[in-house]
Amino acid sequence: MNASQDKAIQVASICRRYGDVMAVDDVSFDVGHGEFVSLLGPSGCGKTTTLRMIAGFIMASDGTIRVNGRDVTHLPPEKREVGFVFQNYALWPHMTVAENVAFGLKLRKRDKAFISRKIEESLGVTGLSGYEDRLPRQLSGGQQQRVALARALALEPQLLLMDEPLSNLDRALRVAMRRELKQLQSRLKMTTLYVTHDQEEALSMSDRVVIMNRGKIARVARPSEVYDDPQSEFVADFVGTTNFFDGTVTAASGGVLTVRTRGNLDLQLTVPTSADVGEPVRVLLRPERIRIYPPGQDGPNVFPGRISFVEYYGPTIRYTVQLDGGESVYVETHNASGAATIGDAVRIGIEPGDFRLIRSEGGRP
Amino acid sequence: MAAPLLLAPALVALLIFVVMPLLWVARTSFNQGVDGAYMVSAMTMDNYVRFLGSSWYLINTLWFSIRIAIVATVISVLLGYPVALFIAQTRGLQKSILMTMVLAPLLIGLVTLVYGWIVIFRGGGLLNSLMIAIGVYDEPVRYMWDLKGVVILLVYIGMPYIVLSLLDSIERINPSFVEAARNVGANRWRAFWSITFPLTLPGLYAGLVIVFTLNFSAFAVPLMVGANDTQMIGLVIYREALLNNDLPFASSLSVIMILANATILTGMAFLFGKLILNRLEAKR
Amino acid sequence: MMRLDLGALALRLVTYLAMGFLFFPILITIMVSVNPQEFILPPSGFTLEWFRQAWTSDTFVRAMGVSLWLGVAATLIANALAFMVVLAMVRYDFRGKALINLLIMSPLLIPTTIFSLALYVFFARLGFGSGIPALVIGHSIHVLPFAVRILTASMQNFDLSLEEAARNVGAGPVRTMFSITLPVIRTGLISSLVLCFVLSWNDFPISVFLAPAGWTPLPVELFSYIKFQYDAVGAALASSLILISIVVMVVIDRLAGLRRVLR
Repeated sequence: MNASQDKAIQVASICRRYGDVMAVDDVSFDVGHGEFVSLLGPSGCGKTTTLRMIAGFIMASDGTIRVNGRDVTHLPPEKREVGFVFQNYALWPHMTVAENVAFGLKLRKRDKAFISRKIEESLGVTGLSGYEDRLPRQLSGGQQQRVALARALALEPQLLLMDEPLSNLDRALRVAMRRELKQLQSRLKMTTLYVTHDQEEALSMSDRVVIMNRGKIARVARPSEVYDDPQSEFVADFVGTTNFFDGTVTAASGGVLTVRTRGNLDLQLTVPTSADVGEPVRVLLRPERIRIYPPGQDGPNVFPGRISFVEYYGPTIRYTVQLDGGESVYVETHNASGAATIGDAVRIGIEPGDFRLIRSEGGRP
Repeated sequence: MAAPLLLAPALVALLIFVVMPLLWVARTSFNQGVDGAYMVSAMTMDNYVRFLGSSWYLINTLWFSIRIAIVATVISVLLGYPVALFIAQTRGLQKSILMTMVLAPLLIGLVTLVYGWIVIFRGGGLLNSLMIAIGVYDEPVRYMWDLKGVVILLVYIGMPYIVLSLLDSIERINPSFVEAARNVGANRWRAFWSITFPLTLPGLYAGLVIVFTLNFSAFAVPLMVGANDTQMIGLVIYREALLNNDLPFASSLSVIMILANATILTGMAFLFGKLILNRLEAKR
Repeated sequence: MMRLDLGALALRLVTYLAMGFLFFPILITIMVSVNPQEFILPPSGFTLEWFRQAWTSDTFVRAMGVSLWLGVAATLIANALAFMVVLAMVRYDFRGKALINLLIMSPLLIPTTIFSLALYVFFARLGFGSGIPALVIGHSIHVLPFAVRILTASMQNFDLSLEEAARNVGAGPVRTMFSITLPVIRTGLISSLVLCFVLSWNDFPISVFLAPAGWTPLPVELFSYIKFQYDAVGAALASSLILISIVVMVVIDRLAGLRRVLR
């Protein structure tokens, strides 16, 4: 038994070149059976190209793609047996909903009874019973999205590829569909590879997230790991908001690092990453980890400053605090904690364990 | 299914049946025509000398064709411009009906269209009866088979192209251009002449190129309604090729026609370039 | 204010005059064709006798058959070539596109007189000046640019993911072409077929150069007919052609928008 048969998708060192540009550059990752994996990244990062290579719409310039252990790298799309849901749904406009769903089954020469049972089943699952005879243009965006999903599910693919399927819906519907999609996926235990540029979508739905940047993989991890321990500047910046402090390690003892920042703050860090004294490092800190301390409260990392900007989001409020040393940080608090206004003097406090550290590579600050 | 494979059939067909025939016409124009026979391969300028050396041909065919083409083109523009302006302002059903009426002559065949004109213009025809009835003439006049008939039909066929080209230009003009002109104090007429009119010149130019070429090279119209004094160059080509079987002479006339047409169009391009096109297409 | 209204009024007046100019001869032809008394206008009654004669005349019926075959052949050839051209031009990027486009549109740019003569001279060189092959080729190439233009518009709007979706559920390239691509662009395809047919059906200049003796298309036949006699039978035939053309115009306009197609 080949170990690769344990995986639903196994992508090994695939590349896609367009002239001199590497759209996808040496990308490798696996997706386990029943797993929900997202490909997340900014536009142009190669995530859609990667997905389309797995579906066979684009041929890989290099590398191999295995689906359930079968090498599909050089197969045409119709021989790959993977479900695909398109960003624009790609519903055939001259066919009714039922005909759209049935087309693939007819190609497989299934008998009539089987086909109509499958239509009924997949439309039932996606909540579209009764819409069989509608034409795609007679449906709303959300309904079209469901047809696209039903069309893919009717063929009972072992693998479902989705290319930003919710990006054309408005926000409320998108959030509702996200939940529905995730519940359906869990219930059917459908292996899913999901492309999105929406970090909220990726974090909330996925078992694991593959973050891509400039054709390469930046990080593969569970959503909580991605957010809490980005491990790279790009991931930290792309997923959520981050405060960056550049500085130098001035002391390291007993698991506690002291970093002197450019703005002359002395940060006390307890992080798993080790670093040498004198080494230039970059310290990351999520805004919601910073507290605004009431007068009198004290701790290891307490710095005075002044509020220079306030953004009101509803459930949370984001303050921009100008620290006395000259650096400015984002602080995000719950709405309940009472509002401060521009110009207010405040003291911020940070738990030493909340920092993350990136060692500067190749002398980069 | 790579691109070259898809393009090959059409490109080969066009090379064999358009490019090669045109080259062959150019070559044939230097051959020697022989009465009653096909022709003799040669390298002679005789055919060109026969046309360009004859003041009769130059005046009654070349210059005559140019004059007719200019007159018909100008009338098409004078008639077509207001029509295009008006249609641009209409909407919905009215626009559909007007467009259908304008475009009808383009789709209904030439011969079919000519039929109605024959009924109107022939001796003893509708126009004659009318003229006699209101006392302009005392007896039927032969309208058909002469110059007026040719010009009227050329205008009839050419005007739709002018309207189409102009409409594209007019509808592409951002309405706020005119509003901005009115806002800074131009009245309607001034706004039209300073803003709308210059911006329709590209469309007018496109229409002129099509219609002038169409008129200058016409042979079917003079063939159907012309008389002996309407020896337009296209008609002479037709007659020499099909009736006199003098392919070398017909070919040399074609070459002369293409060169004359190209010269006139170049002049027009230069004029319109100076007027407006250079400005609209100026690169940063 | 007064002047402003005058301008609008003048515009409307000229337009109506021009429309009258464009439509008057068509109207006259139709009136003559249903008038029991030949050429006495206004009509004194209504008859379809002239139509009956026109549609049962051996010459005309035969010429209609010729035009029908010619039109169908030219339409199919031109559209097959055009479809392949459009696939290549819309879906692939390559050098020299502008030049190739110029070549494909060249039958529109070259005056019909020259184009017809060139084919005539060329086929004469090959040993036959006019003939069925020359005529079919001439018509096919003449309508090719129109087919390319309409199909390009359709294919540019075609969403490639529709084909990908078909491939994804298991359809091969050929099946995808016939089950998805062609049905989706069918309005453009039908417009193109209809327009090409009508242009060929009504063409006079090319046919008069290239039609062989004994295989005369309808417009050339009608031309030789009215050269020697004006009668209401000719008018009835002309009216039939006008009515067919108008119906076709409305159909194309509904499907593809006439303006986009003819420009």
